Amino acid sequence: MPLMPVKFNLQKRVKLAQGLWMLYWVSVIVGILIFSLGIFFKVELRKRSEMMDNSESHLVPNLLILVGLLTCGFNAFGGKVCHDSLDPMKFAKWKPMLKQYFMAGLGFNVVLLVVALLCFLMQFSVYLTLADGLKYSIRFYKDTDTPGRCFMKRTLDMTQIEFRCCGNNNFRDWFEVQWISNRYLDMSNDEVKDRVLSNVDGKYLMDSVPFSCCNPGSPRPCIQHHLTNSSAHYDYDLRSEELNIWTRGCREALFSYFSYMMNSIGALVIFTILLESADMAGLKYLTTSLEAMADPENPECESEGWLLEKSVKETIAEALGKVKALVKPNQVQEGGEAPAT
Amino acid sequence: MSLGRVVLTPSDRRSLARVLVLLNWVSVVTGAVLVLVGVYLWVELWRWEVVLSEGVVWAVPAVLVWTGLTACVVNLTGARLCLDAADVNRFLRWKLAMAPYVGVSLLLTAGVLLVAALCLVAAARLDGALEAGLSAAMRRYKDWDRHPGLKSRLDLLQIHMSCCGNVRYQDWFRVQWVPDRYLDRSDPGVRARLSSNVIGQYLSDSVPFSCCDPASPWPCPQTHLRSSPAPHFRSLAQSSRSLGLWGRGCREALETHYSSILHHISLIAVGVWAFEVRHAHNAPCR
Repeated sequence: MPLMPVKFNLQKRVKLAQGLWMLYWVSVIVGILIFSLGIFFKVELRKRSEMMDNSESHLVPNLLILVGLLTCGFNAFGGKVCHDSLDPMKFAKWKPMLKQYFMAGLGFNVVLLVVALLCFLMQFSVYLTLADGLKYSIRFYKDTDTPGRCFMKRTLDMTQIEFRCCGNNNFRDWFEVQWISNRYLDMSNDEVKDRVLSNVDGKYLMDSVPFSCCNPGSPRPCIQHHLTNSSAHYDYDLRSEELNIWTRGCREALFSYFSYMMNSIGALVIFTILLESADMAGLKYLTTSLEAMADPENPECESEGWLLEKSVKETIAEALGKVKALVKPNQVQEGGEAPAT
Repeated sequence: MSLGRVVLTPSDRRSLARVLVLLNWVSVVTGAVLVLVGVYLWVELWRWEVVLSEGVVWAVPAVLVWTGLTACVVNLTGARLCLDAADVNRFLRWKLAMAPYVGVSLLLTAGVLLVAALCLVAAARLDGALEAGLSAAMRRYKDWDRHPGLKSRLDLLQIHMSCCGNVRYQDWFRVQWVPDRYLDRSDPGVRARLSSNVIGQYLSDSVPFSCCDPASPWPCPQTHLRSSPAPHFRSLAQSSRSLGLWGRGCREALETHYSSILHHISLIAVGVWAFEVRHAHNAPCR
């Protein structure tokens, strides 16, 4: 008993072929979209790679680029088959490839599912990479004369300005590192000497943040030094002063940016899976209704199209049997010999 | 004796009409391009309108949009006309409209050229408008109550355009940019500064944080830029580059930015004009 049979006359077949052809081209455009989003994601990761200590994983964008190209090719082929389906001469050359095409389609859907899962799960890896990377960035902020780290200051400043954030978890991360290079410190000054001697590592620590933490939207000119000392500035209470510097940490800011991107791409991939399933179902109906025509010379005749030749259980049992036959060919041979003797 | 007389067979006329219809559609596209360019210019001007609130340059987007729309309408009519030219019966309807149509398209062609000239004039007049706008904005920087948001827009301008002050960073030394409510009048230092000038303004040798250049290795000392710096800094060279501030003034930065946009727009307008002139000979349609 075929699964979900539907009767088709000529008009219905033509309509199905036309609608399916448009659907295939929509799928090609979606494939191009996935490809471009993969490239965009890769470029964004590269741009922020200094914040992630150059150790970020490019697995997801590379997979997206590959999957995007495969989707385009796959659906372009399907569209061509649709286009030729109503001409028996042209359709005849595609007929032998259809079975493999459907199997490939099934496999491709599984790959898409894996890619969607990766989009959602790799966010954890991005979070951890950001946490580590930002820690190093803040530590190396002052090393503008060390080769390989010359641009860390500029990159971190521009990231803090662009993403409106300060520090790793929050602005207090800046209090724990020396972010002013020794080159710019006047070591003969008493105050400087006191600060350097006040901690074990001999670092010049202070309760100040770089200028890039300043919020331009604050009505007050930016207070970046002596942040924890309420009496250092006129009319300043550190507990109520909200707008002066960015309070959000850069890890949270960057993570929410990448997380939004990865969630959107994951949703698009799931939509592509649904689209591909609809494409394959439609093509199956079209091809089976064409093959089931009683009189191939007369296109006006009615025919029946179905999704599967037998019910789901029987199809799965048949497929398992074929797999077993492939895996153990010797047993079949022995069984054949036994009755002879 | 008519000028440029050519004898055409019916099939020649049909293919000529087809070519002219295509050219008219391309002109519709160029008209749309003018409209888009006008909208883009308006958005760019509105982005920094805090320092450029008036000037000839604000008339340019409106002129571009109207010229573009007129070009679209005229060329759509032309396309329709040429489409009907192939059929004698339908063409008779258009006979009366021919003369006004030719007149309007000639005016349009001249108008596009005027738009290009207007862009160049606006670019030349930018300097004065920017000077006035920037001085006013810098004076109002501290007045958050009367001009809320002006401070943040000016800060964002300095950050995005990589500039500081009107002509150079020292312009900030001549205005009071710290609001009065954050000045401790009981402090002798503050009182000294307030009494040091006629108007009683708090002038200091410091600049806002938005003047800081992230690419500089200096951690940006904003205060004590003229005298000896904050105690922990070594003495600094006087050029603003090594101070870690933006080297150029906002007037220069904005002028370069807008002039280049206006010059590109006038080039596009000249290109559109040249294209219009080449196919303005709709006489063969008659």
